[in-house]
Formats: sequence, C-alpha cells, structure tokens
Amino acid sequence: METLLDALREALRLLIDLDPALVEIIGMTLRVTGSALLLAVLLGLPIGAALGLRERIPAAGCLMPIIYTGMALPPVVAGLFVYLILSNQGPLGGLDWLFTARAMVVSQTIIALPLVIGLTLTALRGLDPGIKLQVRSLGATRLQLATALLLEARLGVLAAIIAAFGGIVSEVGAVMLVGGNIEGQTRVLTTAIVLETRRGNFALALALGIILLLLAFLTNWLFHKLSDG
Amino acid sequence: MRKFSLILLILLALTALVACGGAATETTAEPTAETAVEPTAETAVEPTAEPAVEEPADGEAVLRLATTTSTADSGLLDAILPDFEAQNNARVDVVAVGTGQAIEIGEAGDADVILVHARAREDAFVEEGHGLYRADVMYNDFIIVGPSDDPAGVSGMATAAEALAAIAAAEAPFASRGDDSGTHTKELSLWEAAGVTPEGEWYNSLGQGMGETLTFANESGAYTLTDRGTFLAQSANLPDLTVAGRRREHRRQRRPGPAQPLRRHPGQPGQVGEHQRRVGRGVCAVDYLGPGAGDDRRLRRRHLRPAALLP
Repeated sequence: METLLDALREALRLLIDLDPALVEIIGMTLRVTGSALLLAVLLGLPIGAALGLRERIPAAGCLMPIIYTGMALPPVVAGLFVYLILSNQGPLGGLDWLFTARAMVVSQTIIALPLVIGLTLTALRGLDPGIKLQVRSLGATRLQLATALLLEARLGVLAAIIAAFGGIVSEVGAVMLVGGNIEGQTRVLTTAIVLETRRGNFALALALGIILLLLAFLTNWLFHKLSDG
Repeated sequence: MRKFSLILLILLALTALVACGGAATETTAEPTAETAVEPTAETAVEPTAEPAVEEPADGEAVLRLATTTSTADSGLLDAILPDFEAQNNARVDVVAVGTGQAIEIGEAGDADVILVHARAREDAFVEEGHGLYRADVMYNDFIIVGPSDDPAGVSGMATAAEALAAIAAAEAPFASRGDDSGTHTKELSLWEAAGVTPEGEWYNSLGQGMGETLTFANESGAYTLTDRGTFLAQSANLPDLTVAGRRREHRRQRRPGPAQPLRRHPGQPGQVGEHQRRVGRGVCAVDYLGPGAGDDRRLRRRHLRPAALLP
C-alpha cells in the first residue's frame, strides 16, 4: 500500500519537476511509437481497404487466418525477427540499425501492421453493401470509392488505429531486444519500467507506469476528439 | 599505460597481418603468477581488421558495449564511463542483457566490446576468433545475505559451505537464481562443497536475475548467494537483508590476456574503414577498463568499494 502511494507521489513529482531524463524517455516513446503507428497506418490502410473492398478476398481461407494470427504476434518474436535481419550477420546488417530507434520503429510497425490491416478490413466488410453500390452508381473512381467507404467506416478504422497504438505503446519485448534500452538513446517508458522493477525500485517503476497510462489516455482522448469532430 | 597500449596495438596489428597472410601463428599465453582468480566481469574486443589509430576528434564516436545486467546495475559503468567518454570524445552505448545474450551479440559483431562474467565461455569466444583478446576488469566477491534475525545462525561462520550446510539443516528459506548464471553455477558448487543436495520446500529456484532474486529474499526472509556489487547497489531497497557470510578464498587480478590471431569479420567488405575505427576504439576501451601491465594500483583503486558503487 505504501509503495502505491509512493508511486503516485513519485509520478507527480517527476511530472511537476519535468525531470530531464523522464522528458527524454517520454520523447523517445512518442517518437518511436508515433513513427511506427504512422508507417503502419500508411501501409495498412491501403492494404486493408484494397482487401476489404473486393467482392472476394483472394485465397481468403488462407489469407484471413494469417492476418488474424499476425494480430497475435508476440512482440518479442517480432523483435527477434527484426534483430536477426538487422544484426551484423543478418541480410541488412550493413545498415547498422540494430540498437537504434530505427530498429525499434521497424519492429513496432511489424507488430501494428496486422492490427491495422485486419481491423480496417473487418470494418469495411461490415458496411451495408448497398452503400458501395450507391457510391459506385454515382460514378466514383476506385480511389474515390475507397475514400468514401473508409470515411463511412471511420469508427471501425479509428478502432484499428487505437488498437495498434495500444499494442505498441505498451509492448516491451521487441523494443528491449532491438533497442537495447540504452540510456539517452533507446530507452522508452516500457523498458525503463522493466529496468526499475529489476532494480527493486518498485515505486519509481509504478510511477513510470502511471505516466505511460496518462500518455495513452491523452492520445486516445485526442483520437476520440478527432473522430467526433 | 600509453606506452603499453601502443605496444598492444602494434602486437595486434602484427597478428592481423600474420592472420591475413594465411599463416596464423599461435601467440602463447604470457605466464602470469597468480592465485585462484574469480573475476566477475571481463572484456573482449570484437575482431575485424587490424585496429586503427585513434580517429581524429571530429564529431563524437560511438562505441557499443554489451554487458550483463548485474554489471550495469552495480553502478560501476556510471562511475567510470564518463571519464572515458570525455577522454576519447566518444559516446558509449551500454546494452545490458544476460551473459548468454551479450556473448551472442558479440559473436554477431553487433557490439564493439563485451563485458561479461563466464570465464570458460570468454576463452572460447576469443579462441573461436570472435574477440581479439580478453582482459580482466574487475572482481567481485560472493556473499551470503539473509534476514537480520539470522534464523539459521550463519553469521560469523568461516566458510560459505559451512553456512549453507547450516541453512539446509535449519531448512531456512533459500533463494536460488536458478538461471544457469555465473552466480548460480557458483552456488551449486558451494552446495556440493557443503555436501548437501539442495531440495525441499525451503529451497526456491527462481529462474530470475540477481536483482529479482534479492528482492524475493528481502520479501520472504530468505537467504541467498549474491555478488557484493549488486547487493551494495540495491541495498537501499533491501532493508531486511544483511550480510551473513562471505566466501573466504580471495582472488587476485589477472592481467590482460595476450593478443589472439584475428579473423576478419565476415560480410562487411564495404565497411572496413568504419570497422577499423571501431576496433581501435574497442581496444582503447579495453585498455581503459582493464588494468595495464604491471599497473596494479589502478586496479586496486577500482576494487569494489561501496562509495564507488552506490548511485
């Protein structure tokens, strides 16, 4: 109980003091997760829309389970995959991206992508087929059709983005592995929480957890505002 | 020190040439007189091409150091790296992982220097050509810590084996790392010395790191075997634990090992220049971390002291 109160006090203190190390960690968290989310949306929305707008999904019996399984991809497995690719001995070792923020963005994009594709696709397929016919009969091009239907299904699309954000802002397995939790370079909130827990600084770890939740709340609140507006 | 590193660099360059010529000669180990050595953390440098001279001071160089969590948690690096960074206009990125993972990172060439604690695997690492050489950096003694009221009455016992036998006889709770780490291996050998097979309700094999194991021991009134560095660094969070006993056998420090024949790093033809620079920095870092030949005072100064370790 005492630790819980300590944690709340510590969280407040860190936030009020604007602890420079904390500011850096929050900045890195937002940069990495934000970039990964942006990439996942830029890649995932068109793919999800292309699949969702087809009358029949090619090889649906195989493709759909693959996409949905991707939604269950354990972050540490995604991290391991990226690690082996980016390692000095891997095919892209020459990039020298391992243990940098870039490697973290790549892994988180891989984690977020199936979520964006799968949920966008489901949202589009859930639309009344009549809408599609109607938009088409108005002489819309394919791009216009996709845009109109994505707007129509915007709540489902937003849910896809929110799920992807939630999935990557809270994951620790991949960023720990490919980022290395380097102080001042690749340390994000989740890896800092693991570090402080290991050191037995439970109050500080919990305080960082509270800050992470606050950050997620603010972001989701923003998303919500955007979808209402 | 400076002279030594120059000699070392020349030696390394020579072995590199020899290795490239395809006629690798064995450099034999320089005999050093020492008693039983029990270093907890050592360095080995990544192999690549022959080390280059220190690069000019344009811009900050980056050196990646993979090490074990217990070394990072001990606070040692925070105490000594800033100096190195200032002297070499370099930034050291510390990646703290398990010993096995650190060695793996080193083998793949993803780190320039590794600082680990597993002597046999370090020797294999250098022998297999993954590292240029290894050097001892610090040592750390093992201590038995336990609840302040000392239910097994081990305080003041002469040897660790005696203390463990008393803990087993009293069936007092004991927390074991249980993770095949160096500390766990040491613990098992001590049980063997005590003539006890640790099993039963009182023996908790956790499968976790030193930090977690100490936290567990603190919470559940258990004894555990820990390295002094981690215990000191975390003692603020371990109010219920006190040092109960200490291994007696003291160790002396080993000097940096001899240079080993080099193997070119595979698959990096376009990056030899950068790699040479990185190897150069790695050698500098090992020279900095490890004691220079005949310069034992530097080492003794770095012997673990609470003041140097506590954050």
